[in-house]
Amino acid sequence: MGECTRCGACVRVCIAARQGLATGASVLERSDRFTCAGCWKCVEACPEGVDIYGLMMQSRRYRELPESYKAAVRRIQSTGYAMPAEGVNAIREMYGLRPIRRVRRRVLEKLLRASEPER
Amino acid sequence: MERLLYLGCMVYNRFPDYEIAAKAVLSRLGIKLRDFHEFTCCSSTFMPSVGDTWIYLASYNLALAERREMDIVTLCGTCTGVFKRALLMLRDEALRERVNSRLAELDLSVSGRAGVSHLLEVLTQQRERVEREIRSPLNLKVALQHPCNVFRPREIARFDDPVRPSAMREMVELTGAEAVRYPLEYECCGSALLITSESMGISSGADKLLSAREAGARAMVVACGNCAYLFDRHRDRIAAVRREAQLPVLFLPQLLGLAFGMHGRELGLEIRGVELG
Ligand code: SF4
Ligand code: SF4
Repeated sequence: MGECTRCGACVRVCIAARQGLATGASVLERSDRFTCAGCWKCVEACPEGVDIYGLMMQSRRYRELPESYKAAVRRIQSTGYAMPAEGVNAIREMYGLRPIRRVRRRVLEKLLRASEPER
Repeated sequence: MERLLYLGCMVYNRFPDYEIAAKAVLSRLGIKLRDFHEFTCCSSTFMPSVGDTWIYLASYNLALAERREMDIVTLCGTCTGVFKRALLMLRDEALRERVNSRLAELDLSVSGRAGVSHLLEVLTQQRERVEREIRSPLNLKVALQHPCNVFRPREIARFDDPVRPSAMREMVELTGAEAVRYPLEYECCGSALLITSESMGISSGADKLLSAREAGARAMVVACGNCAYLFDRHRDRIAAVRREAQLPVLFLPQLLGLAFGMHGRELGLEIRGVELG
């Protein structure tokens, strides 16, 4: 994995930057690490092979989550899904689609309990 | 042939028509899409943003597919990318063991056997069958929204060109429809910007729709629930910013199904009230 030379190639292809998000020399220098479309054009554009995805995700873990992220994480933790699922099955039934089952609590607890320390 | 259809939160929640059309079209090609009895969110961009547990969530779904002995078909870019990333990481034995010791508590295990392909990849593999099924060639100009994570990052996706992909155009042009080239064609739709900045998401959607319309497109063809979420579900808000930025949104299998001579109802076209002008 390469080191960032602050060449700006990632910023030039970044849709968030194009939509006006304040961005420094690299997408990894901006203060808002969450306003990101996850398109990973930056990864493809980087001539140094910087692990932009990994560093972006890692840096988010050290920052305060935006409210919308908090809500989505809470929903995943409590229901297993990122979107509110109320009323979905009534609609699905109308079109002959299989109902979505609530994820069993036991499953979620096991999958989402904090990781054993690794590194 | 049977495959397991991973719907993902966006599709099961908001776009039953995408599910219906994908099933109908693949069935014509001899591929039966089976439902997961249970599944969870793939983990999306949310869980990797808060820690390492995302790999367990992703692996759980992969393990369910292994138990059913079927490969997975996905409909959205994000889920595709997450599962493929998990598969790549699970090649590491130490990680695989750690994941499996937890999955064992649920009587599951993951080896990485179940493959993951986005619908577009499956269709591309079935190109000749698709060609043979075309009964009512379309006379329509459309624009394409290439689903980012189906192509990027390249080490994960391993499909098509990561920056200027061509698989979707090749597929769409089999139907007789013309996939117009437009200046913002290879840009991301920007849907995920909505999560933290509605205004940036909306203006990004407006830019794309406008660019496509000015190039003569009469519909936007998408192959991801997130893109549809922006272009279709935020249609009114986009129009409020840029009145001309409007196009009917068709899922790729809906377009194919029409060219197969299927009825709108079989493809769920009435569900969102898609009307092609
Ligand atoms: S993944 Fe995020 S930071 Fe990278 S180019 Fe896309 S929007 Fe910008
Ligand atoms: S493209 Fe790579 S090297 Fe250049 S600024 Fe971005 S991260 Fe740094």
